[in-house]
Parts: sequence; C-alpha cells; structure tokens
Amino acid sequence: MPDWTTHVIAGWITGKATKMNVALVVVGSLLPDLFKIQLIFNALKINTHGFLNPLHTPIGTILIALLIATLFPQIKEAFLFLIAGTSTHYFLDFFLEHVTGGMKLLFPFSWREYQIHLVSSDNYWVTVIALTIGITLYFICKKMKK
Amino acid sequence: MKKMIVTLAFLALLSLMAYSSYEHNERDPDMDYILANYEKFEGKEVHFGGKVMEVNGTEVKIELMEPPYDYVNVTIKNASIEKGDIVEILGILDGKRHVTAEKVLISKRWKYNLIFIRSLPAIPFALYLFFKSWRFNLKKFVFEERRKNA
Repeated sequence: MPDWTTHVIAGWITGKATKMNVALVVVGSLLPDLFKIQLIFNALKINTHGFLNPLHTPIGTILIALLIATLFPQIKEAFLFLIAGTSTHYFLDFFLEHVTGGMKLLFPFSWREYQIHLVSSDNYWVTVIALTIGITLYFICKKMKK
Repeated sequence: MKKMIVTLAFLALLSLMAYSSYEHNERDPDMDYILANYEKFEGKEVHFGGKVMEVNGTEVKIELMEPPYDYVNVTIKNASIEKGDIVEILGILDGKRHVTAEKVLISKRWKYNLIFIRSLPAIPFALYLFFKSWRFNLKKFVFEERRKNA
C-alpha cells in the first residue's frame, strides 16, 4: 500500500478538483484499507486473512460504501463521493510493486490478481510528490477564493 | 427503503467474506495453510513476506509477518540482505520450511517503518476534515452537514 497520507491527499485533491464533498472523498480514499483490521487479529494470532480480504476488493468496498452512505441524508450522493475516494485508492495501489499477485479486482467472479508492479511501497517520493501537489492546489484554491 | 439497503448490503458483504474464507485455502492459500499442508505444496511456487532474522551466506532465516509467524529458511542468491530487512519472497517450496527464492523484494527496516510513520498524520487529518463538515445526530442516527460547500 502507499501510505495513508498519500491516499488521503489523493482523495483531497480529487475532491477539490472535481468540487465534490472533500470530506467524504477523503473517507472513501481510506475505505479499502479497512481490511487492515486484520493486523489486530494477526497480533492475537488469529488468522482472518480469508475472511477479511474481500474488504480490499472493489465489490467489498462498494458494499461498505453503501452501508456508510445510509448514515447520510442523501444516500446516493454520499455513496458516489465515497466511491470516488475508493477509486483513487485502487488507482494508487495498482502501481505497487510486489513479487507476484496483486488486487483481486474481479472478486468474487474471478480470483485473478491484477497489478502493474511499478513503485515499491517503501518509496517515500510518492508521498513527497502527493504532498507537493496537494499544498500547491491548496494555495491555488485559497487564492481563487479571494 | 434504507433498512432494506442496509440489510441487503450487509448480507451481501457477509456472504462475500464467508465465500472468501471458505475458498481461500484452495484459491489463494497463505503460509499458515501451506506450512500445515506441506506435502500438497512441495515443489510449487509460494510467496510470503517476513523479517530477516539470520543471514548465513545464501541461507537466510525469515520470520513470517503473518500467521503462523513461523520461521522459513530461504536460499537467496545474488541479493544483498541484512539482518532486520523486510523481504517479500517468491520461490519454490523444496523442503519442509525451506524455499529457494526466484524473486526477492527487499526493504530496509527504517524504510518499512517509515511507511507506518508516514501514515500516522492521515488519521487526524481525515477526522478533522470529516468532522469539520459533518456532525452525527444520535437521535436521527444520521450525519448532518455543518455547512454547505465544506
């Protein structure tokens, strides 16, 4: 995974650039990593990989986004904003380098994994670039408001 | 309508998770299952991540970073690995707890820890952004927008 800061900034940039509800896009950008709850179970030596892995698939995230969207007055809008955020998450994760495998984008119809294997997850330059773009956009937006 | 969406989405999600849990060992087995069923996977390609505990020439002892948190000995050629490094291995399981690596990804310990350190500011930032725009109404059990165009 790219770090969460990169995901959040990507969500923020997307929300700002498309004039969506930034807060919901940002929340959406972190949704697929809900499956990281398994780190807690790992620490307790409980193997939940098989059970929790669907949370990091598009269909799993769509269902989570739908559940969360029902907590908002305009369900459809909230759902779309959350999905916009999750899309940025999968887009960034798609370029991550692993020895093999990737994301099960078509789960549960196919277990095939997709990934481009381009950028190492420990590469901090991705965060630096995202931060630079984010800060630049922040000041542009601020200047445009004046 | 809302209740129906919640029920359907919840049931669908639960079904997905149950299906994945049921099929996981056959379709995408983890090291917990592979090491417990070693005979079934002997000579086959496996992949896993772990922490380097010992380096002895080309023989490297790796502690798995996921269940069963056991040790696996890996033969790694042409890679400069040091104790403490975090590695991802793709290789052939050719002995009980022995893998000959075909492909290795190495992360220095500090670079790996930096991922988590870099992630930390994201949580308060996301919470701040969210609660700046929304507040939860416990009576109606719904989020309400604090102001328009947040």
